[in-house]
Amino acid sequence: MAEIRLEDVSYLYGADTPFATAALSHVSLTLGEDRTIGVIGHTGSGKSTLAQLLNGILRPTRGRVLLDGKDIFADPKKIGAIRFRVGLVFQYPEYQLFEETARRDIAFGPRNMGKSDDEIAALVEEAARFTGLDEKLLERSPFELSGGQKRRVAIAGVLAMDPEVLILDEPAAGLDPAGKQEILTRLRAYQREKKKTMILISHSMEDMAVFADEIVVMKHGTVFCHDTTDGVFSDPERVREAGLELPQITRLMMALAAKGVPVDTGIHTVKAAKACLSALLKGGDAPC
Amino acid sequence: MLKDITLGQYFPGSSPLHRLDPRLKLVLMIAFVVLIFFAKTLLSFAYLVVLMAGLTALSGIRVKAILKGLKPVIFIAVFTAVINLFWTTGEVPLVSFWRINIYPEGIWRAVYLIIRIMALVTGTSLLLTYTTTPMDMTDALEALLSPLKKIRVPVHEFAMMMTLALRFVPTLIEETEKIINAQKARGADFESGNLLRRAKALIPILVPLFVSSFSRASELATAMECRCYTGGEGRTRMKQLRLTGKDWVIFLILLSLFAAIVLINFIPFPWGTVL
Ligand SMILES: Nc1ncnc2c1ncn2[C@@H]1O[C@H](COP(=O)(O)OP(=O)(O)O)[C@@H](O)[C@H]1O
Ligand SMILES: [Mg+2]
Repeated sequence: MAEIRLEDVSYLYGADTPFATAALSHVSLTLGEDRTIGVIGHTGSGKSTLAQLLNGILRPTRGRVLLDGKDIFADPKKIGAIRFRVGLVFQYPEYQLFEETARRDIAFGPRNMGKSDDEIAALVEEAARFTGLDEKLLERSPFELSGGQKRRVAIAGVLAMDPEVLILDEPAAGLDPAGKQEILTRLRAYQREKKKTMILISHSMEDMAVFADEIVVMKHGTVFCHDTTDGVFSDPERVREAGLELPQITRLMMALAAKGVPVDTGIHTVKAAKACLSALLKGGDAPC
Repeated sequence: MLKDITLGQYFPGSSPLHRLDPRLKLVLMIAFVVLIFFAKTLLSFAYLVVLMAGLTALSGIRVKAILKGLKPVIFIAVFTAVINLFWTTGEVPLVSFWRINIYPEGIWRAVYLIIRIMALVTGTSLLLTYTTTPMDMTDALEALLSPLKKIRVPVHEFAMMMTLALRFVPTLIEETEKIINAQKARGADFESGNLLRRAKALIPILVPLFVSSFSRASELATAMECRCYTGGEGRTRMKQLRLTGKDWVIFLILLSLFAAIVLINFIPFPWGTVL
């Protein structure tokens, strides 16, 4: 429901010390509404820095961050209100849990927003539904939960603020494949149903290929390319140039094409590959 | 912001002071601290200033960095100096107004105090904290205190605790910063409200910090046990401290230069002697 724009944003860590490091330089980006935008790049490419600039945890050294056309630092005292509109889930967010029960922890954000008890209950309920946490689990101490459950409680804590833009820094990092799939599927369903702007940070091309509408590729603190997911995968050379692996299924398609099978090498989801291959097997030799 | 807090900051380098064996540095530092208090005459204090300049040059650390390190003690030094200026009595007052007399002895004493405090801080920093890594320092401490093992003082265990504590200071700072940011993103407000409210606002930071510190400590203990750590008994070191001829030469030169403070006191000089 909201659009974020970065205008020539640079960020230096330790700007006035001898150890200043440029984490981002001259980044201009428009992150549009009602879609999932994947941000991908190697470790150290500036993804987490970008995430923290979007909700004002970090203030740009140069340039501006605009939320629906307005500079988020127009009034630095009101940055708190921006953080409710742009929700940020940090990497390994389970380290932020502190309350006695999962339910109370999820309610921490909405309570800080000054919501009434009824509103808070409804928001927590909804956040728990989207993250797949059941009633019984909500009454338990967050410290007794499994890793995956903790992660979901922490994510629910940000969802409960009902932000217009949701940023997740590597939400699936360190989870097992099933847990990873579940969390990403749920987040994607949340984004579709609520028509939010969701920014998903990851270093896995596999996940991005499936869950993102658009992809921003970061490299050495700059935007290497920003395109639709289909657009990015239609040019495998460019992906390789960014130093990223293509999804396995795309590599399979490329191998088949090299053997003379008429398949589209831009395919990047198993679903699309299955449709394509079964059409071929049924006897059509039209390329797909 | 939290990162600006430096603890016994080490300036990387490869000067003779950096390379000197940390055990000898520790001994030198103790000798230096004791010998400073032997300075009594103007000449010996002047010599102390020269000595500081020499040590600074030897360490290769920028003068600006050293002056910055002196900032926190300037207040204490000036404060004690002023008190001494007014409370020292001598024979003939230099200035006299109302009920206050300032004697030349008071002025000398004030100047000496400032030099002494400054030399104390610069000397110990240059000899130890600025030029020795925390790891080397604890190793040296363990080595020098090891005779105490004979009377069952757990020297190794203390040294290990110190090493671990020092090792985890930056980690803890980083972690605190992360948790603060994560709670800020959920609208936590640490800056407004009365004292009670502010204290309560710390709970969302302190609880996760304690939880992760304890789990980290237990993981570390497990990892150490997995590698058969059983304390100091029979443990060997990868980085063995070894004294070379060069170490001894530098040590003896510096030690005699420090000891010269005492001898310089015996050179007669017309003014500036305070008892
Ligand atoms: N708190 C910090 N202080 C100093 N440098 C940092 C800090 N956080 C990140 N950096 C540096 O900024 C660059 C980008 O880091 P980051 O945004 O964390 O990248 P990513 O999330 O893509 O791994 C890296 O070179 C990193 O070393
Ligand atoms: Mg990161």
